[in-house]
Amino acid sequence: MRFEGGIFPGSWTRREFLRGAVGVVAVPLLPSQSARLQRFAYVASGLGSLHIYSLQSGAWTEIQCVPSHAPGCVLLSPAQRTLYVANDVDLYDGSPRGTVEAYGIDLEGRLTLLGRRVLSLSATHPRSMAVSPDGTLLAVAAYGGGVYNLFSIAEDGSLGQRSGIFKETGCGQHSQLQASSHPHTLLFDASGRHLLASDFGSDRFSVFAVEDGQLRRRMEVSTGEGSGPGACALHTSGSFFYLWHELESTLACYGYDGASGVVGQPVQRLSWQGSHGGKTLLLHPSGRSLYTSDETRSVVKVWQIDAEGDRLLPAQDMSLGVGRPTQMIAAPDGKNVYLLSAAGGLIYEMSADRATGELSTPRRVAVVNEARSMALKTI
Amino acid sequence: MAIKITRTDPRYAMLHRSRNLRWDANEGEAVAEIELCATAEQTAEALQRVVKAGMRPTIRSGGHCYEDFVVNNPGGVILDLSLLNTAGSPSDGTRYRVSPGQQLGEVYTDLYKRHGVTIPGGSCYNVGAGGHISGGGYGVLSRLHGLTIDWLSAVEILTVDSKGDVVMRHVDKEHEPDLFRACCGGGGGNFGVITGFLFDHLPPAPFEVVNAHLSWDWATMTEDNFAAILMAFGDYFAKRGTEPDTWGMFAALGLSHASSGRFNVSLQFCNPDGRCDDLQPVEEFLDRFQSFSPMEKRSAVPGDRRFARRTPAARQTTGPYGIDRLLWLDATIGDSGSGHSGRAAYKSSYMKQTFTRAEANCIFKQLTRTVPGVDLRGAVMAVDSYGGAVNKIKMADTTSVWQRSSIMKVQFQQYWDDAQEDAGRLQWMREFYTELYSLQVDPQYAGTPYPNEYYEGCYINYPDCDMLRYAFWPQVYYGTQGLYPFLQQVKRRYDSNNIFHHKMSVRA
Repeated sequence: MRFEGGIFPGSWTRREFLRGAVGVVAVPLLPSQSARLQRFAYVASGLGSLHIYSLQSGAWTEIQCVPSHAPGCVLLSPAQRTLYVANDVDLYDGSPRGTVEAYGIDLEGRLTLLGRRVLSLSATHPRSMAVSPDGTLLAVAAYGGGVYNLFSIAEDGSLGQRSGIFKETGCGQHSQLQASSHPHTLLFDASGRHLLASDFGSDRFSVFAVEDGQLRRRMEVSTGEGSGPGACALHTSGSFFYLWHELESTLACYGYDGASGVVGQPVQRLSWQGSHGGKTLLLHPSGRSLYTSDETRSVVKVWQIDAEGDRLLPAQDMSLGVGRPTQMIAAPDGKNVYLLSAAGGLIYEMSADRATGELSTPRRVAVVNEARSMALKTI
Repeated sequence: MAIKITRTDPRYAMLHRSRNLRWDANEGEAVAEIELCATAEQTAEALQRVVKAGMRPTIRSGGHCYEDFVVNNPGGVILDLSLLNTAGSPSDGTRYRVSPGQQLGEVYTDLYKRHGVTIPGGSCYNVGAGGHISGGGYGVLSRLHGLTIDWLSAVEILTVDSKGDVVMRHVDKEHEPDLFRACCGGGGGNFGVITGFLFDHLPPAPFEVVNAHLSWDWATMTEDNFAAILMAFGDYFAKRGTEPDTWGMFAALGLSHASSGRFNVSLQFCNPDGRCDDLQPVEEFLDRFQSFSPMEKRSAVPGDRRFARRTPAARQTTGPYGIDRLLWLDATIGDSGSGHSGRAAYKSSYMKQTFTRAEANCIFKQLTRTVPGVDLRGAVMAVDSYGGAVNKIKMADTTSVWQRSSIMKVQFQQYWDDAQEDAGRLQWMREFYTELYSLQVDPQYAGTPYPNEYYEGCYINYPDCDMLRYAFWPQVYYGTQGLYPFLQQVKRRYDSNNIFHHKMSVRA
């Protein structure tokens, strides 16, 4: 088996591909096994469990429930062989810190705990994670403690030593919500050499250089007093990212130079009357649509992105009839968008128009009490 | 500029480690660098650099922290204040200054020679003043003069504001009194970096003291006799010891494990005027133990660093007891022990009443219990006299030490060298402590000296991470009368980003 030009299928890295290739050579897939390759959804419940669903012909069937302490965020490795879970807690074994778990995923989509790692002292309430594109590093943002941690990832997907720690400082003008730094969302850029981070508490967006497993602040951008930067997404071109200024209900598009790790000024700002509630944001895999929602409203906005990536045009306002959307994710093929609603733990599926990105009427597919985060595995 | 010691510096091997070698086990937990700071300005500059770099600062003055709060700081920085040891008066000349990097022995010597005064601080003379005073500062003269923080007038401290900028503050009862009170016993590593302790007044150093010592052979000790000795000791401080003419007495019951061969009672005493003209309280105290036939009556206490050996010139007194009379500074500095690095573990409790028979029986059982494969020499339950001037109840309102009703303070200690002994020794110690503090404690707080009619919790300067297993550990260390919420408020105000933290720091 050989690939020309170092190009590997899908998002597989060379290392992950080789792992997969070895498996294929050693245990050739039988037709029946091949038929089992399908989609799985991993849903974190704030009640202390991970719910695993098999998705077949539009039907969601729960195949496993795994106890996990306050899972707040789930994330798949690039090869989708490992699931990482951030435990949104402020105490572990008596110490003020959160934890992260790594689970191996078998061919049936089921999870097996590979291990648990403690975050650095004071790194409480981890709520966001990012895996480097080559699958060798996991970055964790601790919302409560204002700390970033970096872990190495072993060949089998398990987490190795914590290699980097960065303790943030800062505050904002909202005396209660911004009394201290609150790292919100993490993203690796395409090169994996930079980690992008929004800090809700300090009205700041930072770019960290990732070198030798350490984090060093490359630059920081003030997002404005009382802006509360939160959810963000990097455009597929790597040249722009979209950032919610949650407290001022503004959606901003910033230029970004991945080569140098430098953030430019906002090229577009869209503001409207809103609340201080949590807001979500999803970039369609095509890079042509952006979806936004507000936790306290029941509307999903669909934006079309121009060819350059730096202009958002309103395309659709879709009323959900349900409240508190907490996360949206897209199927890798872009055909469907899923939305988690904290109200009643409802999970909705919507099909996305290939050309316009517009969404169909939502269809309820599952209910998970206190659903907080979801990941979708599709191979 | 502070002196930066990085991993490539040959000094790093020495300076990154703890005296307690238990904390050297995991190299991955070690700091990236040490900043040796000789002035407050250097400390401020180093702290600002560390914060800006996103590194975690931990603070060391003498390096005697009982837990891993300072040295286990992966990728972080130790701000080492051992060179910030300027002695003498501050520039206004009206106060006494103690710097955090001064060792207690240096503090005693300096204050004595310059001014003839002292602080009622601890007996381990190379303990750094910074950590010691931050947690209260208790020692041999505390029954006579109270805690060191009871005398504290002002503190110079570096804090980090909500934006991440270092601020130099001078706090006292008039200026930022909440932060000042928090610094009076709230414990180190919580709110900022203290760079100076200022005292308007300090008590005069005693002119002289007497020492005495009794010991008993474990081989011939019965459970009844053991219990009677414990109760005689405790009863003295519950009753006679509350009278001011006895407050100059510091006594310690050193309950070593039976494998050590013997246990002992030791004391240091002076009259309230700092002389030793009237030794009646001492004789009354020692008389209590005569019926239990102590095997040894002498002044020196081998291995107990709190009582001077007889190396300094001493005058032997007459009478049935070997009582040494020494000049105070000789007695205080004469045997400056505590320089040994090894493995160690500690626990603590405050006792409001004398020992009950149930407690004495439990202690006897545990100290005579052998554990296969575990050498328990070096294990001691040290029961120190407490109370006297410490128990001025109004001081609980103006300081952050709330334990003002106790008559004894207990420190469980173990010292050893071989890492292979860790598990067995720690297990024995935990079982001992848990059993003892389940006898007279509400079941929901079993295993701890939770505040009640018998106990007043634990001492924050003897931190013990085993207690983190209890969600109510803050109440065990800070009481149930609102001190901990007060400290949390101070924490939120002065360290909103929780720059200063460790496993038992005040939670914001």
